[in-house]
Amino acid sequence: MFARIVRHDWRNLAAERTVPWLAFVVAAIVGYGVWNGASWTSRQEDEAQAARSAYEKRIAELRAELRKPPVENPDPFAPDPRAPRTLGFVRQDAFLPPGPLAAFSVGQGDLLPAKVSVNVATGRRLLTRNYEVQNPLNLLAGRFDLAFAVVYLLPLLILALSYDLVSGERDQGTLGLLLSQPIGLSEFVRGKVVARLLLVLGLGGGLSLAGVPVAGLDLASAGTWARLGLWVLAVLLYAAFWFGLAVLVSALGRSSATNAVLLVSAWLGLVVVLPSLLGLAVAARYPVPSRALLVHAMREAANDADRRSAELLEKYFQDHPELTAGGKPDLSDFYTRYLTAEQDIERRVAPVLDRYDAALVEQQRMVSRLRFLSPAIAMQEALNDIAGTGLVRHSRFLGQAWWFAESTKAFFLPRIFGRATLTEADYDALPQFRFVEESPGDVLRRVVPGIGWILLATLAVAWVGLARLRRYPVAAS
Amino acid sequence: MVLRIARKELVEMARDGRFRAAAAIVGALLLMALATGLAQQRARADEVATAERLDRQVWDGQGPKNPHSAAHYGVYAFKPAPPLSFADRGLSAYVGETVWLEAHWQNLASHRPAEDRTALQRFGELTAATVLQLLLPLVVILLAFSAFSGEREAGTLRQLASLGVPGRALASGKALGVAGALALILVPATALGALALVSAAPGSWVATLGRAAVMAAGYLVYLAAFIGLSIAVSALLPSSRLALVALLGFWILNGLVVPRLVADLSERLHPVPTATAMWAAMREDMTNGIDGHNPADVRSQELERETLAEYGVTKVEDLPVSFAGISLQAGEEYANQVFDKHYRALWDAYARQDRTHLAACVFAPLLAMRSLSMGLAGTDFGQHRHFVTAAEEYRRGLQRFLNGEMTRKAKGLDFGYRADPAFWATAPRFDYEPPSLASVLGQQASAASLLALWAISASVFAGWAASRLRVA
Repeated sequence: MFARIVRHDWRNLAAERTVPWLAFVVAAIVGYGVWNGASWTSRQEDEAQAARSAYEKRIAELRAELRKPPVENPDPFAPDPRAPRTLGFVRQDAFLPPGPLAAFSVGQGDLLPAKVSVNVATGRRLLTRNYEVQNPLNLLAGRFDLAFAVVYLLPLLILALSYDLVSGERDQGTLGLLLSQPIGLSEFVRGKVVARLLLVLGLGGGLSLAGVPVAGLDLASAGTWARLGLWVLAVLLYAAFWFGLAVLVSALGRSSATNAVLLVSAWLGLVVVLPSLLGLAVAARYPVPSRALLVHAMREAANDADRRSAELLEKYFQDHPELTAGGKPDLSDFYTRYLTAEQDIERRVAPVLDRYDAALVEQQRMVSRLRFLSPAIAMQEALNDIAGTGLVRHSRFLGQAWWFAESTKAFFLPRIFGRATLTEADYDALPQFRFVEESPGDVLRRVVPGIGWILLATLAVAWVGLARLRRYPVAAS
Repeated sequence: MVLRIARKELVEMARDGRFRAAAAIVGALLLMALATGLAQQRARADEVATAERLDRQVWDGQGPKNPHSAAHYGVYAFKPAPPLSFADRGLSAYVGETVWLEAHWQNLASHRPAEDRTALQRFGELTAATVLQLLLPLVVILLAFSAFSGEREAGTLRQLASLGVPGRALASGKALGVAGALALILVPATALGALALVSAAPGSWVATLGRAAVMAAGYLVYLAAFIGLSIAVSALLPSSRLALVALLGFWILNGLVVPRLVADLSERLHPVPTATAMWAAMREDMTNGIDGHNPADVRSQELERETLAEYGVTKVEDLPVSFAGISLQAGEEYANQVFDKHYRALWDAYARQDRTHLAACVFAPLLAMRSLSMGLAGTDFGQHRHFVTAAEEYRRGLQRFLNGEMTRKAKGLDFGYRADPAFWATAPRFDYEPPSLASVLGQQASAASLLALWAISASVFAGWAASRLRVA
């Protein structure tokens, strides 16, 4: 019986002239979204590639110089390929590769810098200074990507399909007739919902899969498949939630028009108003201290380091005997003074930097708690995490980039201070950056509470809705 | 007649529970947005004042130092929060708030507040501007979608027609009624906004009054466009239900879909380089010359020859001044040309992208309103550009000042020279003067006229739809 209802309703839907149009609009939205995401991703990749080749070209030039025999009177201004400081000051860019599904959800990817330029003088305070030069108006407007289509537009499509689930039949006068058959209203509604869910997911899911080749995903990796599976699951649950809500509203027994207004208000509240309201709350609860404060702390530390430079030098080498293992440092050397001063500034600025990081961590924790107030927030967070364009993956990148900066310093500082001469073996051993991707398990642990909650909310609204259907006023009042 | 209709409509709406609920929610959101906006604006103003004072202290107290060391140490420019930013934060979260003015390099403004926020920010910031641009049109739609279609369905439209009420008069009356209902929200909101303005800029609120007045007028025109459109659709479409669907569809396109659609489109039409490519191109121009035929080493040899000729000596050691200072200043002058070329290209590309956004206001009046509103609030890119350009002018002046000191005093010592501790306090100060209302209006002229065009077309449309009203 259930299958029959689904089939019948499906035929009804298919007979409507709007369905081909709907399919066309959904295809256009999904196509445009994936295309945008994919161009953004390939732009990121090209940039990383260009920076990588520039770095390698520079190192190859220096290596070629190194292989030439030393000259009698070298040009004092030409870079010496044997001096550790020459290589130490060459910038190597650590790039965060676009997330495995970045083409589906740009997320914070266009805002948070995906590049950290590292050399021997890179301190933590300089880690995040590499902005992309994008028009801020476009950042404000946000991206038209698949995640936007899912979070904002999919609910509207569902609401348009299901605001008159029951009231439509009543308005047509077919409801009484229907219920004179051996079938319950709840079973009937479930059949209609399943038919519509199939239509929505058929359109959305089929087209998203068609978008996979457009998005240029790395299908050889198992991680990508795991993420794709999670993505589809999340979209399914989110769609189910909105259908559940439609059932609940339908069960109230109001007219189709009232249902539509109620559902659109719910959408407006959950998707548009609540997130920006909570955004205010989060920023007010855990305000990030003024960045001007950081500037001032940096300035004072730098001034002070400059003033006490001699004293600092001595103290620094007392504290770090390992840095001068090769030989005695030349305390009058500009680079030696500069680099020790840098270390001191870093040490003094660190507590200030910690306050920013801590505030941001607290904010993100609060968002993780608040996502339970709106499925749209839970969904956006989950999609960013699945796509690999969220805050957590970015912090992970900064952590790894910082570790890379530390190993660069650990490589060069002893050689600079110990006045070592570089050989080809040193060139081969230069620190390299490679981003270690999160495991699917990590992603799963973050995503499951969010989409698990969407599932619970779906079950709750659907259960209450179906229960209330028993008392549905079949004859219009 | 029109007034009588308007009064009847207003009374009806004011007694409608749905309108009261919507008005209460929107009013509360507006209040909250104004309060937080004001708190943010005040906090930022205090921050900037403190930071400027501290930064200057640090600069003045540098002690004996080489002028070029001081140039590298540099100064910071802190972007002030314009008074009206409490109403519209515009791009504030997405552009940097501090500019480091150092030797040899024009930096981008850094510290974008959005980076210190979570992804929630991307759902949109709740400001008075978002309430006015996004939520109030929805109230208008809810008030007006059934203006004609409701009467038609209730059968009262036929009666009205039989009384000889002309369609246009009916439309004007209904539009006035909606406007009156909106005034119930807007008049208290404007009063609060005015209070907020006085406390946002205690000393200079009179000067900001002009901007605020134009902004308020802009919003009235924007809402008028929505009133006209809603009335027209209600008169034209056969049922209230269809009218509501059409208007909600337009609202979603206007507020959510078109702005994002255009953002991606504008980047495709007017691409900007990646940051990595832009910096590389700048370095290339500095090393090999802007035209590619004037490398840095040739430039410095020429400078040496010219300087020697100017002072009539044959060796650098015989110069009465420090050649290091002259050479540094020449380097600055050349680099400035490179910065001008590349930053101008980038910002002009932004401007072209912004024009694409504005052109799309054919489909979404919000785009014109947003541009006008953030322009008047002083939080658009034009005014960010104005600020960073002023800061850059100051940087160039400061470099000239420091290199001049080096040239005059550092003869024979060059980088070993130490300037007197009292010297730093004589350096010029950065006093930023935001652009005048007239120049902002000049920039926003097309946005303002497009908005007006929307309102005019919407009311003409409403008049036309009302004049060919079908009563059944």
